[in-house]
Formats: sequence, structure tokens, C-alpha cells
Amino acid sequence: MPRFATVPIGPYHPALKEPELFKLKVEGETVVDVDIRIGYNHRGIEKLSESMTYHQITFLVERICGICSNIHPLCYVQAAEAIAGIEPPERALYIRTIIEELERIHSHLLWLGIGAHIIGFDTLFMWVWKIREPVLDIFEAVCGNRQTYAMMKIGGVRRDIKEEHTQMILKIMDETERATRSVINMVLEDPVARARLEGVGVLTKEDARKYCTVGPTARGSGLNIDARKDHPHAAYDLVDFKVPVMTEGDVLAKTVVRLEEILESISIIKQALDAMPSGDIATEFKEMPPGEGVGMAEAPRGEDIHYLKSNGTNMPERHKIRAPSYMNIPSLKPQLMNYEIADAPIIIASIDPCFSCTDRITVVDARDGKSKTLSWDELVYLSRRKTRRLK
Amino acid sequence: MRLPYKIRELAEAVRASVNKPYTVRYPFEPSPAPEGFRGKPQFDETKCIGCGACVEGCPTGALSLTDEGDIRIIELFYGRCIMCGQCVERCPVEAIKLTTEYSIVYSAKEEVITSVRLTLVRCEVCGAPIATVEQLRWIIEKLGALALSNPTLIAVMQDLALGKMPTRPPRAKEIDRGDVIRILCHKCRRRAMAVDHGWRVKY
Amino acid sequence: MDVADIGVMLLNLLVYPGFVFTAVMGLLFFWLVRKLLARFQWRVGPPIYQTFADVIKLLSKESVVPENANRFMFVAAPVFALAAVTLAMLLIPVGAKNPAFGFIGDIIVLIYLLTIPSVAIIIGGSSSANPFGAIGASREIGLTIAYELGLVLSVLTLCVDANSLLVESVTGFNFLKYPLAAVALFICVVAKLGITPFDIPEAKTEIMAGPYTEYSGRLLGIFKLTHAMLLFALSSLFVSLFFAGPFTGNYVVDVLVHLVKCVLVVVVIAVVAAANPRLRIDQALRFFWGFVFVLALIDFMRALIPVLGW
Repeated sequence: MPRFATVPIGPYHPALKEPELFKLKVEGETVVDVDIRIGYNHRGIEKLSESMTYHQITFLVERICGICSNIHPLCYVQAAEAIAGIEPPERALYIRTIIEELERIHSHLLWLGIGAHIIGFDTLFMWVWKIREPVLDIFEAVCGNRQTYAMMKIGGVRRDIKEEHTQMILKIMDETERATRSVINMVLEDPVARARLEGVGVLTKEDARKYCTVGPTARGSGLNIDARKDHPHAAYDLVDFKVPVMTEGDVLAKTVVRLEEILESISIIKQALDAMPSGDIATEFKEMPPGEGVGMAEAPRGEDIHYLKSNGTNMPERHKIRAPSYMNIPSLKPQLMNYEIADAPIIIASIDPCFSCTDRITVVDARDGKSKTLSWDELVYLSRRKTRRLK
Repeated sequence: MRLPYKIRELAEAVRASVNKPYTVRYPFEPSPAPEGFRGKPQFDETKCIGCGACVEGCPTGALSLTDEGDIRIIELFYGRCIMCGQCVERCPVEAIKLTTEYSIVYSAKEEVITSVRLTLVRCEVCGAPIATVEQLRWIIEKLGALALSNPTLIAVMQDLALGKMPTRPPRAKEIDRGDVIRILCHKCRRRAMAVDHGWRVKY
Repeated sequence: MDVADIGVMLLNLLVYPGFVFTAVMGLLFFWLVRKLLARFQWRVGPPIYQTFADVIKLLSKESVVPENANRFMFVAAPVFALAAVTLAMLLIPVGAKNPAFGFIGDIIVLIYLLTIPSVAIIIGGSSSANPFGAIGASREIGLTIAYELGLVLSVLTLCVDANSLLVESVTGFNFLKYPLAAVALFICVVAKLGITPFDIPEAKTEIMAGPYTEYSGRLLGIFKLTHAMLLFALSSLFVSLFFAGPFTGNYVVDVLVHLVKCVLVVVVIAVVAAANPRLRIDQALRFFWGFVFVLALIDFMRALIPVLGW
């Protein structure tokens, strides 16, 4: 009778929004080993970028991920602007900040609903998504769509925030703040929710630093890193905000970091709407000189980086994207060890994995044992050997 | 005084159950989109000049341009459209607009494609497409008096003034200096005007 | 026993208060739980025919039995569960003091019959050759161990108090006398039905569908029907044991009053389900063997001490 059973979570699993494979080796109900396989969402976006013009790529990268759908165009246009050497006008910087913070609010509220659903608290799931609906209404009125906002353009933004939108945004921000504060209390005071979230999936500070985690995963374990403070982009050096950091490193700490971030985002949006000057929303962009550029932004999941290399034509030579979830997923191994299967979905969800953002590279590995998967180099070696034999 | 947490939760639950539900019973109830919503695009055939600026800017290839004989067809395939609005930004005459319709449901394949058909003017010598009649008209209007500097535009203006379409069948013939007055594409015009055809002034 | 008696017994078993009545009422109560949960969450909720449509659809589809599964056990498990619940309804009083077919010791038979559906889930889950089924079955075992103690203890409290093992002498408005046992029995009923916060075996977001993962079609339909019938049976039992009210002579009025009380119990179940997340199995075990056991024990002692004459 085998002592260990292997429980696969994924690629299809009700707890995961996107397909990945986590092979948990369990003894009874305790997890003793984890094997993580990614790559199910690889769509060849970097290769596709090399055959599209610079304006068209803005819409391609928007569709890398549905939830971080503004961050990827923002990083990309910042990289392109770095190569072209143009600066967007100040009003455009403020608008970019407002959209990024609104996206952070909606993403964290979405995550909270999913987290509640995973621990079986469907009522909180529905209530939090009800709080999220007015934020999506703002997007619909200002940007034209609830997701994939298509607001970014090389040189600025495509649409302006009008006066009537400003009033609507301020009203909805007040309601969202009130609702978020009551949800924070609900999560912190419910004894059953606390029992499920506290002390579960602890990521120590050394592990967080060793695995190079970013975003709320790192900030929940005591690392004070935030791309908005470390590499200020858009209008982040013109507004005032705090970065919430907790030290316990368990799922509850990460939840509280996200909830505090929602409140900070609301304050940033109010400041930005107040301080926004009038003026142009885009500078002219005519041609792209050869060069390299890097754009960085703070997605709701962590730091996102786009690298762009141009050779003077109207299509880039190389476009490299590193999404935040790529750094956070390997840190699941210390977080899942020695906890129970019942906790595995909430631990996986606590790093807020966005596998659509992550799959830039397919991982091919060779296992030893009964079944052998050959890696690319071995296949090439074998085929070369055969050619030599035939000669 | 803060009531104990469960009591507040129960109060919210009771409030939710006596109010109307937050969800809209779409499609039995209408759920209109706000004014700035980026819904499905619609051509305005009276304004389109067939320049193809929308086709060049479309990130997905939903818009396509085909030249068949005397007709230029610009086709929009809704199955690939991402409603980004690049076509709207690039159109010089506002002939394509995004409506606020978000429900693109079709049961027949013909409903998925919408197109604009325009008359195309071709080069008289090589048959390469120059532009549509509407685009030439637009250029003439924009240039004003300067339109008289280009023989193609003069020929087009003449035909339009006489009430006939400026489409002329191509003649596969050696190009000569005398062809300067005809409707020519830019390559043929360069060959007609700038190449030495051996004409000399006889003194 | 002549033909008329057997005929009456069959009618009781199959129509009222047996299979048809319990199935219809159970599915209606199940709809009520879903509708209330939806309204608490600001949603619209399903129309009244939804649960019936679900069961009828499932019963008309083909069942797929996995290749490595133990075929006999896989198919027998839901059938045994359905048979047990139907038979148990003969022993649960509806609108009267005595059940349809009472006999001495029938309360013990009733408790055993009500345990069979949980055992059927365990057998079904373990025989499905699926890791999620195995985990679900092991969780169901853990949960059954947890709540059976409280359940039996609170029922025994009433037995000791009435000094008999007949269901008809145990029913009555015992809530005022033994409120703690009532609360313990209520919590055990919620756990037996697999409703949040104790829907641990069928934890949809953790282990697919637990023991029901490999079930489909007719067999799943039988399981769902059993679940609905168990809802009605257990709420009827709870009402009969602790809230069986003053009985007017009119049978129809008594039955209607009983149904109204069952509806109130179902409403309380829905409120509890809406307001709580799911517990882990070890937390549930600790909760039942700690808090609920103590509650039931207090009332059991209160009933036992006068009888023993201490």
C-alpha cells in the first residue's frame, strides 16, 4: 500500500482560474512535496510582437492578461517612449496613474472574492463583487469597456477624463471606501475566516528574498519593495501614499496588505483628480530610432517589466515581457510544504497567480524514472547522431 | 457601539433579501451601455472614401481591403474585431464609428461581415489601382486650386464635370510622353514625364 | 397480515409519507435553501421548478462507471442510500405523535437508517478509483465520526427522559426542557446534510466534488434526490423531537403546521449557510468533539441524574 498519494491540482480544477499543474505529494492530508508545471497558456506573444507595428502591439499586450490589462500596455508604451525619447504631457501622466490605481482596486476586490469563494464563503464572494461593480462602471464610462481599456498610446493616453466623469469617480470612490472598510472588519473579525487564513501558507522573509518574490506576496512577508516608490513612473512622484507591509507572511497578512492597498489607491485617485492640470493628453510620435528601452510598472501582483529593442523599422526586433507572477510561482514550494490539501487552493490563490501573464517560456524538463521526457538538446543530439550514422 | 460581527452580517443579509436583487435580468430587461462605450463599429457609406487608413491601423486584421476590377471593397469581419477604436482614430472623414451595441450575436455567416463597395480608378497603362473616385474627389476638394497641378486630377475633374465615372480601361501599350495627360499611377507618371523618350525641339 | 395491510404499508412506503411525498417536499425545501442563499447575496435565485428539473435531467442521462472502479459498490451505494432514507421516513412522525409504523426500539433503527446515506457516500467515494474520491471519502468518515456522537447523545437524552425507546413517546415540545440538546442536534443535522460550514466532503473548490467526482447521470441523480429527501427527513425529525406542537385533532391541519415548522428550520439552516465559510476537517472534528459534545453532555446529565436517583 503506497504511503504517498499524488494529488494533482490542475490543469483543470475548480479552484484555479487558469490552467496550471501542481502535483502535490501527500501523506494523508499533509503535503510533503510540490511539483509545479507551467506553460499551458503559452500563446507566442513575444514572437507575434516582432511582426506587428508599434501601434498595433499596444493592443496585443493588453490581451496578455484580463485583470492586469492596463499594466502591460503602460509598461510597453513606457519602454517605447524611452527609445523614442519623448515625454508625455503632465495631464497624461495623471490619467495614467488614475487608471492604474483603479485597476489595482478592481483587481484586489476580484481577488478577495475568489479567495472567499475558495474557502467556501460564497456570501462574501458575492458581496465583494457587488462592491466591485461600480468600479467597472467607471471604466465603462471613461475608457469604453469594463476590461481591455485601450487607453494607452505611445506619447500619452487616448481618451480624456471629462468633468462629469470626475464627479462620478469621486462619488464611487467614497462608496467603495466605506464598503472596503466594512469588508476589512468582516475578514478580520469572523472567527471561521480567521481560522482558515491565519497561520496558513507562511512565507518567511528569507525565503521571500531568496525566491525574489514581488508585490503583495513579498510585502506580506516583510519586504518593503514597490515599483511605484523604487522606480517612479507616471505621476507617482507627484502624489503622496504609503506602502502597506506586514511581517507575518501568512495568507491573512497578504489579504490585509491587499485590502490596505485598496484604501491607499482610493486616496491616490482623489489626490490625482485634484491635482490634474488641464492640457494635452498626448505628444506627437512620428518615428522610432534604433535603441533599447525598458518600461516598469507595479501591477496588482507585483512588478512588471517590458524590454523593447528597435532597429529603426516600424516593427520591433525583440520584445521581452516579464510578468510578476513568474517570480511568485516558484515561491509556492515553501508555502505549500507541510500544510494540508484543504489549504492548498487558498495558498495558491494567496499569491494571486496570473498564469496568463506568466507563460512566456515553456519549460521542458527531463524526469528520471520509468517515463523519460527528452529535452530539446537531447533530441538535437540524437538526430545529429543519426545523421552521422547515415552518412 | 459596534454590534458583534455576526449580527452586522445578518443585518446585511436581511437587507439584501428584502431589496431588489442587484443583478439585472438581462436579456429580459434591457441593460444599455453608457455613452462612451466602445461597441461594434459601423460604416457610414456616404462618407467613406476608401483610403484604407483604417485597414492599416487595425491590430487584428479584422478590416481588409480588396481591389476587384473596378470595385474596391473594404470588409469588416466582426469575429476578429476587438473594438479598440484605432480605425475611428485614423479615419480622415469619420466614416466609421463605434456604436454602443455590445451584443454581436449572429446566426448566419453573412451577418458577421459588413462591407463598403466603392468605384476604383485604375491606371490607364498598367492597371494598378490609384484611388477611389470618392478619395479623388476629397483630394480635389482639399487641394482647391492646387489640384490643377496634377494631370490625373485634371482628367478626373473633367470626367466628373461631364457626369461620367473616370474609370478608363487599361491599354497595355508602350508608355510615351504624350500619355502625360492620362490618368496614370505614380510609377507610370514618372516613366512618362521623367524618362527621355527622345522628343527634341526642332529649330 | 392480510392483503389490505400490505397494501397500506406499500402505500405508506411509496407515496405518503414515503417516497413521493418526501421527494417532492425535499426538493421544494432544497429550492428554498438555494433561493434564500441567492437573495442574501443580492442575486435573483432559481425559479421554483429548478431542483425538479435538475433531478429529472440527471435521471435521464447515462451513467459512466470508471474502468478501475469496483462496479458493484459504485452502483449499489446510491441505491442503498435512497432505500434507507425512504424507509426512515416510515419511522419519522409527520404531523402526529406516532410515526407510520412504530415498534419498540424503533428509535435505534431510525438512527441506524439515517447513518446509511453517509456510509453510502463513503463507499461510493472509495470505490470510484479517483484520488479526489478517496480524499472525499476520508473526509466523510472524519465528519461522520465527528457528528454522530452529538446526534446520538441528544436523541438518547430524550429517550432517557421519556424512559422508552419508542419514537412516539419521545416526540413532543421538548425544546423548553432541553434547549442545549436541541442546539446540539441542530448543528449535527447541518453537518449531516453537508451544508456550509460543514460541506467538507463535497468541497467544490478544493477537491473537485469529493466522493461524487466520478458519479454522473442516473447515479448522481439518485444521490441528489437522496440529499434532498434527507433534508426533509432530518428537519422533520428535528421538529418532531423538539418542536412537535399542540396537536389539534384535524390531521390535515397538523400536517400543515408541521410543514410550516420545517420551513422555519430550513430558513435557519439557510441563514447559517450564508453567513459562514467552510471549516477544515480537523477544525470540524475539534469543534464537534469539544463544543457540541459538551452541550449534548450537559443535557444528557440533566436527564440522567433524576433517573439514576443521585
